[in-house]
Amino acid sequence: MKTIKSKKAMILYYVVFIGILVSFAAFFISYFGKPTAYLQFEGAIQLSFINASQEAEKQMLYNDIAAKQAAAKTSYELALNGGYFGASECGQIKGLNIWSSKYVPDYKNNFLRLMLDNLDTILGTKDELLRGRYLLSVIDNSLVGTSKSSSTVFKTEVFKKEGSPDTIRYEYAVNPSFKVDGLTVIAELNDIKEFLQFANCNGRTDTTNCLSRAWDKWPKRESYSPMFAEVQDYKSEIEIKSKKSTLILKEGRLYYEPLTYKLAYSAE
Amino acid sequence: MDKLLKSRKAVGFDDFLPLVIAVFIFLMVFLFVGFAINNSEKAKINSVEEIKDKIMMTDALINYLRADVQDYNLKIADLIYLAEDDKKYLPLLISTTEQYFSSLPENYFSKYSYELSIAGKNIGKSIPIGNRHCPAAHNILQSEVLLPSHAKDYFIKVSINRAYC
Repeated sequence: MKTIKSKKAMILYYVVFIGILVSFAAFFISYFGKPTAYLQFEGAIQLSFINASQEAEKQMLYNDIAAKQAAAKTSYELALNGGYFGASECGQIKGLNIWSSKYVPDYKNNFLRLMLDNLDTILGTKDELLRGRYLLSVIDNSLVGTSKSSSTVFKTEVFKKEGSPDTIRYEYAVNPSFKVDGLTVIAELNDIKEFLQFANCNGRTDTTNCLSRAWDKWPKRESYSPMFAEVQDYKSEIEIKSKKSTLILKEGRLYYEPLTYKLAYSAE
Repeated sequence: MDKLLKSRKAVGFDDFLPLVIAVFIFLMVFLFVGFAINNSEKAKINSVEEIKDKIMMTDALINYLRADVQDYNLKIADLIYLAEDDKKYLPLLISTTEQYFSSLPENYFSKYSYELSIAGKNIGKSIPIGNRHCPAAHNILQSEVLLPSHAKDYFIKVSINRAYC
């Protein structure tokens, strides 16, 4: 009381002390503390939109890669199976599916059936939402997958403040379709079908000789290396190796090499 | 004030010293508060710059993974898988990566030190990209993409890391 009534100038040290404390606190908080929510500036919402679109892009890339690997696995399995999905309806010789003038596999459809299984396996648990949701089609040398139903939604929040009711949410939706280019298996199976028609060995007991002679005259022979082996009268084993490298997924490993087609031919 | 200045009375040392200390302390208070305000502004600008950089890095990463490999019917993402399964593809992956990033406009990765990192079960590789490289980089900002693995039990992580020198 005496101090307050005094007319003499003086320094109030406790005020100075509080000021020092406040300034130090401000300094340490700003220097060592986490930066305050960066979303409180002009353009924050727009940047969040870009972020969400990039998350969607990442998902699309993930789907494209999964689809490409599934296609690599499908191509390898289909070539090894002579274009069939499982065993051929007209039987097997030495474990090889038979092609004949009556039985030619619907390899395009078999590719799509096998592809759906492989795609679900590779998408795995990360994309539970996308499993079994694709409609597949082969257009020229490309495989196109379109989503059956609704699109995938990427949610992003802006103006997020702890405990604040002012949080704004928006959704960014994309159609998770994919396209795999450079598919060779369908075109190459087409070539094999074309070759067998060109050879026209139906009813010939010496099928291997017939096929070998036809091969030498076949216009597309430069693109493949063949191997024909006699199994019995009217029946031959065929192994045709392409000369064009493609992605192959076999036994859990990815390779960049040509496909080998294995089948049996019946001239009966 | 005039009276004070014209006063011929000396200021005693016991009054002068606290005055100097008080002025000094208030100066310090102003400096600290000023620095704190400046620092928080800088942090805000940095965080905006970080968002901007992260967007740029993610964009570059996605474009990189989708880019074609010269003379092969492959994308760079395919090459990463091939290198993961067979080390003979690693030199091709490194040269393709260096070639890809050096073909970008000069100012693309010029401000900080950047590196591309590929981490999988069998592959672990860091490739410097951009014009500035520093061995003791710190304060790393990362943009990453996870690629599915055909082996199902893991992912391949491809990231671009930005660091201060």
